[in-house]
Order: sequence, then structure tokens, then C-alpha cells
Amino acid sequence: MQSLARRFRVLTTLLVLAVLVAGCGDGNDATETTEGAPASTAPASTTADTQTPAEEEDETSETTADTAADELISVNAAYIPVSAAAALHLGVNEGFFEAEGLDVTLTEAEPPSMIPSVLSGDIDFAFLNAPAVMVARENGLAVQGVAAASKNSLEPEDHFIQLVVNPDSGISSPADLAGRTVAVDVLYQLPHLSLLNALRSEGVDTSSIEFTELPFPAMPEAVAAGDVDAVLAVEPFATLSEAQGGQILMSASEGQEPELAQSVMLASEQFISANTDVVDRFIRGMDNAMAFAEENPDTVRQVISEFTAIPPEMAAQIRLPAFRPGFDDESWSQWMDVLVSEGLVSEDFDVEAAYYRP
Amino acid sequence: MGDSLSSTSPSMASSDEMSADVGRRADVARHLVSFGKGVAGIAGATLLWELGRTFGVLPSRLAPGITDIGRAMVDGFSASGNLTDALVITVDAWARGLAAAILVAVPLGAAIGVSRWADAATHVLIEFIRPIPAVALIPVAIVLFGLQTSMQVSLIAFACIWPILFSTRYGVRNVDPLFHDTAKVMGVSDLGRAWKVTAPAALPAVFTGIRTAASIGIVVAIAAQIVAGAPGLGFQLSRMQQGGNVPGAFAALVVTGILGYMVNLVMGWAEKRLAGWQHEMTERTR
Repeated sequence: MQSLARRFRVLTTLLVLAVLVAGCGDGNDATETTEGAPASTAPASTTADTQTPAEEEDETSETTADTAADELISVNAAYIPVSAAAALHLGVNEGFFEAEGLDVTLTEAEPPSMIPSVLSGDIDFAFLNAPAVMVARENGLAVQGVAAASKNSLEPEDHFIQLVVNPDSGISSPADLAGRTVAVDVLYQLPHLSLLNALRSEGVDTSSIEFTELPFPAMPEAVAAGDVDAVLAVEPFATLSEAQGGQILMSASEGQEPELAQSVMLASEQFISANTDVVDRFIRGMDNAMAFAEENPDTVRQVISEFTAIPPEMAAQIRLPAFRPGFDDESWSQWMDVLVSEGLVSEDFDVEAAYYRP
Repeated sequence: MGDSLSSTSPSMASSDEMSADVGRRADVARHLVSFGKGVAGIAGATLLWELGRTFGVLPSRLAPGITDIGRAMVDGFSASGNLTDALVITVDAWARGLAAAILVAVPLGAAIGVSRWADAATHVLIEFIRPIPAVALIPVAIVLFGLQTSMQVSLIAFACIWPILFSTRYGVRNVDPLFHDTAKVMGVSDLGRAWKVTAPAALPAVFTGIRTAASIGIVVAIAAQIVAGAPGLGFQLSRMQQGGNVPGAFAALVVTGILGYMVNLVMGWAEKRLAGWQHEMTERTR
């Protein structure tokens, strides 16, 4: 019984220590790798910083290059590890954001994290897409698109989201899809909505098509085996599907305005109104990075193999998104048709409020 | 046998020590045999996997060869790979979540185990909140904690609280009344009884709950990482899948499996050493 009591005391001491360690844990977050989240920047402190560079530039004429580096404003941007985020990375790597006085720290995450992290103030700019921003606003979330992050290729066959069919399925035109099964990654996300728009522009009745969900990595084998009749695959899985004998039926970008916003960087309305200067700088940096990316596909392919898990040899073959910068008033309104008919936004949705104009 | 009996020198070991020696050797032999069986099992599974690939039962792109997976693991743990950081972050989040769950669930479980009205008052609330899957709370956790590790910790803690809570309540409730009566007769105060009788007697049950929670914690950590993209092994897995890097995905998966196994091993060892007197007592009486 003596040793029992001692053991019990040892155990409780260990548990108490464990709990104390748990309490002290978060202090380590600052030293985490880039896969972990960096320290967050509260909007209040960024507003204060916005004053400093302008003031200093007015006052001094002897600002050295070293002092200029001290004036960089820290912002956080979250992205999804997909090829369309390449321009954002080039903005950091090639110094386009730094030229605008911004020190941008990138954090990886998945789509469900994008809007919540922006609303919590943990992240300043997040990577998502135009229809998702519109649906979020319809549901009362105060976010706005600020800059275009990717566009569609001008030629449909170059688009990086393609509808692939099994050559033995008997489907040779979009009209043949009636009554068949089409797999998308997640319903009502950008690829699915793009396809609905594309099919309608071809005069196909989409109500007879059975849409089902299937993760992108499973698509090549599923369509080759005939588990589904067609898959809407994003790169690298469109290329992988073709390698297994799949045939491209059509591009998801058919029937779209060329400058229709696809992937966008978004921010919360609160952050935008409190940090207008920072947002304007971010947009300029992003637009410059986009223009650079559009002119330098090899650099794009290389950075894709760095920040995604796509191997370099695959990155060299896949279809790339386009990176023409900027959006205008037409860039968002074409999404209304498909969003309204799918019941995702109401007819009186204010499209113009969905994005920020500098 | 005859050798030991023939010696009559005073330095001969007593029969007790000899049977202890034999017992220890038997233990070692038993462990070696079960280890060998484990290795054979893994080897058999590997063989089946490779046979499946060879005969087309398993699709070759989605079921990479063992050597490819091994190479991906080596790459992952190299300086340029992400598996080391992912593993460390996962273990860190898991440990902190489990510790936080213990901190909340043990006092709460003890309270509702001891007090009937507290139990009745919280019963409906607990049964209502408990079935919520931690992964469903990811958006809430992100709004509260951002994308830092504390987001994962909060979800892991939420999921781990329930098994510990219920085991503690059970352990506290089911202390043999004889122990309480004996202590009262000996004049131990109520508070002293809580510390000297209830707590040690309930400890094995508490530890069972902690052990269950430990495994659940790993599952929730990985799931949160996959869905939210929080850093760790789950995110590595998802990232590799999205990049079409199947050996890399399997490498993350294998490391996750090994982690789960190690957690179970450590918790089992800890339980035996720190709260295993029930096992000892039952074994002694056999």
C-alpha cells in the first residue's frame, strides 16, 4: 500500500506537469516552420504602420536602402496548394510585394479555412474564387474580392480544368451527357459551376445530368474503369486521366467571358476599410506578379513544383492557368446566371459590392 | 536437470533465484516470439500488397510499390522533406490537446461522479454536445484561434474530453463502498477520503479513459489537418494526394500509422506502470 500511494503521487505530479506544459505550449508557435502559421497581424497595428512609410518619405531625403527595408509592412496571406496560386508565390519570390513596401508571409491551408481565417483576423488576404466570395456574401459573411489571382486561358483546350470521358462511353459531344453521371470534386465549387455555365452555353439541359462527388486524385482511375461516365478534373489529374486513355470532351471554361474572375484574393470588409493603403499596395503587387507570371510560364511551372506536391516532371507537362491581371465590372456578373439558377444567391444580389475597387 | 542436483557446493544458487532466472528467460523468449509473429504478419501483408500489384488486383498508380513508399519516406524525413516537421507538429498538438482534455475532464468527471445533482444538471447538456464531431467545428475553431496549432489543440481537446469524462465519472462512482466505510471507521475526514481513497481507487478507470482519448486524439488531429489544412501529417497526406504524388501520400499514411501504434504502446506501458495495480492484484490472486 505504501508503494501504491507513492505511485499515485508520482502520477498526479506528472499529470500536473503535463498540464502546465500544455499551458505554456503556444509560445512555440512563433518558431514554427512556414507550414505552421506565422504570428498574426492585428489590423490596428497595421494601420499605425501605414502612417510611417509615408511620413518618413516626406521628411527625409537621406533614406538608405537599409532603412527602406525597415519600412516594410507585414501582412499574411493564406493560399491553397494548387497551381492557380503560382502568381501569388511569384509576387513574394520575385519581390513584387516588397517593391510596394509589403512583407507578405504565406501560409498553406485548405479551402474551408480561407474565409474563417480572414474573418478571425488571423489572415489578411486569402486565396479562393469569385463565386465562393459571392456565395459567402449571400450568407452574410463580410468578405470582398480584392485582386485577381488567376484567369482562364483564352483557348479552351489550354484550360486547366477539363471534362474527361472514357473513350468507350459513347459520349462524343456535350449533348450526349444527358442522363449520364459526371463526377466533380465538390459540388457547387468553381469547377462544377464553370461546367454548368459551359454546358448551358452549349445548349445542354443540365438537369438530366447526375452530378456526383469524387476526389480529384481518384478521377483518372474512376473514369478509366467506367465507374463514372465523365470526370471534371483539375490539373495534374486531367493530364493523368489522358495518360490512362481518357478523352477530353470539353473545357470547363467554354462560354465564359475571357476576363471573368476565377481565383481571387479576398479580405474581410473590416480589414479593407481599416487598411486601405495596404490593400491598394497588395493589389498593385499582385497585378505585377500576375503580369510577370503570364510572361514567364517556365518560372510558373518551377514554382508550382516547389509549393505544391506536383513533381517537377509533371509540372512541366500540365496545362497552366492564365494570369492576366485585374478585374472589372464584367468580371463578376457572369457568375450571377449560374449562381441564381442553382439557388446559391438570390436574384437581387449586389454583384458590385462583392469586390473592392481601389 | 541432473547437473544442478549433483552440485552440493554452498555457492549454488537457491532454488528461488533459479526459478526467477528461468521465469525471466521465459519472458524474454515470449516477447521474442510475439515480436517475430508481428514481423511475420507485416511481411505477409507486404507480400500480399506486392502480389496484388503484380496481378493487377491493385491499381498500379494508386497502390505504389513498397520500395517507392520507402523512398518517399526517406525523402520526407530528409532536410528538404516535410515529414519531420509534420510529425513534430502532430505530436505537439496531440499532446497539448490531450493534456488540456485531462485538465478539464478529470475534475468535471469527478464532480459529476460524486455529486448526484451535478450529474443530473449536466446530463442533458453533455449528451447533446458530445456527439458533435470535432471536425464539424473547424470553422468555429478557426474563427476563435486562427490557423495556429492552438486551433488543432482545441479540437483535439474537445474530442478527448468525453472518454476521460465518462471514465472518471464511472471510476469515482464505482469505488467499492467497503473502502469508504473502512476509511470512515478509521476517522478519515471527507476530504482526506477523497484524496486517499476515491482518487487512487478511481485512477485505473481514469487511465482507461485517457488511453482511449489518446487514440481518438490522433484521429481527430489528422482529420482536422486534412479538412482545414492545418499543418501536420494529415495535411501532408492531403497535399501529396492533390499533387498526384501517391508514394508521398502513402509515406505520410505509414508514418501516421506508426505514430498511432507508438501512442498506443506508450499509453499501454504508462497505464501498466502508473495505474496497473488492478491488473497486478488480479494476477496475484490467480
